[in-house]
Amino acid sequence: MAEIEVRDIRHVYDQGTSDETVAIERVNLTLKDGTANALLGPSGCGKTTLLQIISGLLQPTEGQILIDGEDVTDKPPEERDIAQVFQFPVIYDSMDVYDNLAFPLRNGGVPENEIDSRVQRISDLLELDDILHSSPSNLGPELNQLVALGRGIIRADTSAILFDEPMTDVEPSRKLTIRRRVKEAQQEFNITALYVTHDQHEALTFAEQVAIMRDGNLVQYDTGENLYQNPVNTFIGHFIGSPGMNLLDCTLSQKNGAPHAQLGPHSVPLKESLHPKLDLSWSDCQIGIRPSSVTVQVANPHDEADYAPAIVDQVEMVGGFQIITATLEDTDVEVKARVAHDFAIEKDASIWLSFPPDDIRFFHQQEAVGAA
Amino acid sequence: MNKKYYLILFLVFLLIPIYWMINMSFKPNSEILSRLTLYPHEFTLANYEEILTSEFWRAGYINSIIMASMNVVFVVIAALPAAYAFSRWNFRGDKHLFFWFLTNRMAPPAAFMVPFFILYSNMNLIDTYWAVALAHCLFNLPLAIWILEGFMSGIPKEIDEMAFIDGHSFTSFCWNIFLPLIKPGIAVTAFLTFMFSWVELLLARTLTNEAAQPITVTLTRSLGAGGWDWGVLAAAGVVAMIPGAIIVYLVRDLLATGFSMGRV
Amino acid sequence: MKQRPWLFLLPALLLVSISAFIPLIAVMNYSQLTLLPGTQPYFSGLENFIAILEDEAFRGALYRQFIFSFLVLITEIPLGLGLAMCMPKEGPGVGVSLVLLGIPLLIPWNVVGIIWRVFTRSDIGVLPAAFDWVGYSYSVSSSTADAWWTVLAMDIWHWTPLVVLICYAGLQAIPQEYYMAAKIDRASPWKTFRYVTLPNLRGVLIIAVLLRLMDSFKIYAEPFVLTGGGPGNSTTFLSTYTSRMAIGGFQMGRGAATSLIYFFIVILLSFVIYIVMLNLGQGAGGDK
Repeated sequence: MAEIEVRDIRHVYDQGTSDETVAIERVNLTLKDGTANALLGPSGCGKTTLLQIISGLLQPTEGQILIDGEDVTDKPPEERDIAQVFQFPVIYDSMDVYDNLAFPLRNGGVPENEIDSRVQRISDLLELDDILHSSPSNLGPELNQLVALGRGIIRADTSAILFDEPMTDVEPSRKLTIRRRVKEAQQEFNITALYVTHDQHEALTFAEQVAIMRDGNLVQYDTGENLYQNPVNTFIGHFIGSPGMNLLDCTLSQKNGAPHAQLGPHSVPLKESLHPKLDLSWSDCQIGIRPSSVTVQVANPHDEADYAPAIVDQVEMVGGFQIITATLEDTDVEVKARVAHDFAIEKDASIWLSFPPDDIRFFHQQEAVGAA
Repeated sequence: MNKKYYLILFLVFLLIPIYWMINMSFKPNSEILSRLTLYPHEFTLANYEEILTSEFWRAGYINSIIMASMNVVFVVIAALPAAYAFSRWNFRGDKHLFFWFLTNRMAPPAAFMVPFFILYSNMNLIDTYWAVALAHCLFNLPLAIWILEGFMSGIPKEIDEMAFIDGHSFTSFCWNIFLPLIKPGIAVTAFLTFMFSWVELLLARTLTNEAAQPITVTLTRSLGAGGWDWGVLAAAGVVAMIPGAIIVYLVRDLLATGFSMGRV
Repeated sequence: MKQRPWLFLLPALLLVSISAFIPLIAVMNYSQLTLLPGTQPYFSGLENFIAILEDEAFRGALYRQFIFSFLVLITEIPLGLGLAMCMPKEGPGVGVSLVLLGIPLLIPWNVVGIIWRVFTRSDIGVLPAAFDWVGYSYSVSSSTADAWWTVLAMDIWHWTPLVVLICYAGLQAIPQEYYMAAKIDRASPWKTFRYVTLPNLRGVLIIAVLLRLMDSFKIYAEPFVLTGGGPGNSTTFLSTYTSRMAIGGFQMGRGAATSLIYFFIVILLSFVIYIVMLNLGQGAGGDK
């Protein structure tokens, strides 16, 4: 119901004192109307600060927040029509579930019969009907978090809802159900949502677009697919996916008239579209490749030129696959590769690895070169 | 921001009587008794001189400090393990025992004066530091257990479990992990214990004569001896405030954290 | 393993036994004896209790005690809570306020009485002078009403800081998120107070109320010095009465019986308040 624009936001805590810390360097971000977005990043990257600036609980040092084009930077939270769900369930525990849901409406002076129908609608949607007249203190954090969510979306004029790591207190086994109901509610009301988390799995399942922050900067705002396939820098490559992208230090060399990435004695061909963008004199270069894209051969391959020999250091089962960690021969370059769970492989075995040129990303000074 | 002024108003209300006492302590009795003056017109240090040079007053101070400190030590040493037991384990009758401990706080010292006197006479404790320091446990120990239990309950049990998994012995866990965590709680407890012991009059008066007489009692005794020496009394009152004020000032940061850590 | 809790409780139990339990047994014992100076004590059963319950002076002291404690609670608790809400949350103001609030608590109780006595003396006191100026003749020694509210003001002066400290501790422990949520939900300041502050402060308020109730029942030194229990018996409270009985030297058994009745009343009252406050507001979480 609303488009949220974060324009040139900068935030410094305790400015002018010895405790001065820059939480947000400078961030620009536009959340389209009715979309589900996630804000992802390691702890302390400024994501919660940004969230509180959007909801109005915090005044930014610089910059503006616009909702549907209107500058709301100086407006208090209650005038922004933005709901927020916190890290732990914030519940008025002297009221029952019904009164909790009705609370924001009553504060807004909505007539009781309208309140009743809104509460019914929300409790249907979030499957809270059975507990409407229970006291929240007996319900446990999962249901309480749903009540908190319900309180957020119950106002007809809620334009956006912000989630601040809402699953922190929720038991892992219940996360899926809760997340499904949250997602359903978001779609049902077509609410612009921003979901802050440090768990990429949560971010990628909830959101259509994910913004990744690091050290107070917005690094990339993109779809999950793009974040995975085309990270803008090594940080994202490493951060997204588990395990993250292989990032292998390399130099550039000229071979058969085309630039190759040189991993010690091994030359790795690069795709043609990259060629014109590379400069042979560069240092601080890395190639990136997803473990799932690395080809593994146990037997001697026909064409040894495309393969590099390696020794297996470790084999782990991760989520139905085996992850092999291997060191390229005559180097100390470690590569992770993903193979099927029944692939016969053991520690210390000799294997051959190849890196399909189309799946290789090239990074110079940590930034992606020729990003699609 | 306006609400700050209510606080300031109240603090002024608190300080007026204290100012008055300080004001009086610098006046000679002739000025005190003759007219109302808002500041000492005939400024004198004689009252303080009297207190600081007289053995009678000085002994009262030292006795008070020793007894209150002993009481703090007894109370904290006994209350720490007890509070730990209440906060960590469920055992038969724990709730009842907890409430029973609390009821001791309600015991009126007036009711306990005579039995205390008889019991401690039999134990040959009358007019020793021990008598008062032990007797004050009556109302301080329940309070200390109560407060410390609150602080300890605020610290997740997982911390204990993690420490034991990491191979800490119980002593090492207490010393290196648990005590540092509840340090502010101990500060608050010690502050309140010291305070209640420092200001108590009834039991202290019953259980001491000359040798161990604390300052509160010295103050009353001097009342009895024909006519009140207002100036000296005021000066003594000011001096009686000082040790506590110094302690509060020194540990104010710990107190601030302690008071902000949790349900007292 | 089963003995472990008791092992931990041992020091506390030992201390309690010599500081509370044994004396209490002794009190129970005396309460059933007639102890007159110079005569052999003899067992008199409930005689002491009956005599006390029939004593007008005791009933008067008890009645005044209830009124006094009630007034103390209804002024000091709201005032203390309100002031705690005015306290700064961080910065140098916190330390300064804490130290200033601590001062009245550190003054020996009889000195508190002395200060207020000086304050109210008709010849040299500030209060009579101030009231005289507005045309009211104020006298602690002759007017019951003046004596009453002066004792009450003294108690407020003396003990409200403790309530402030306790409430401040409780307020600081409430997560800020509750207040953020209330803001987003457009709750008025009153509703925020009613649905966020009060429920979260329940445990702390129980402590404050019980502490003030118990201690106000024990009030002795301050009114004793300020008014000496007068004019008449108008500011004679339970403790004053009991100690008069006990030290007065006439009847130790009577004093012991008074103590027991008094002790019993405080425990009963505390228990009732504790239960009521725990159950206040539906779905009380219930701290220990």
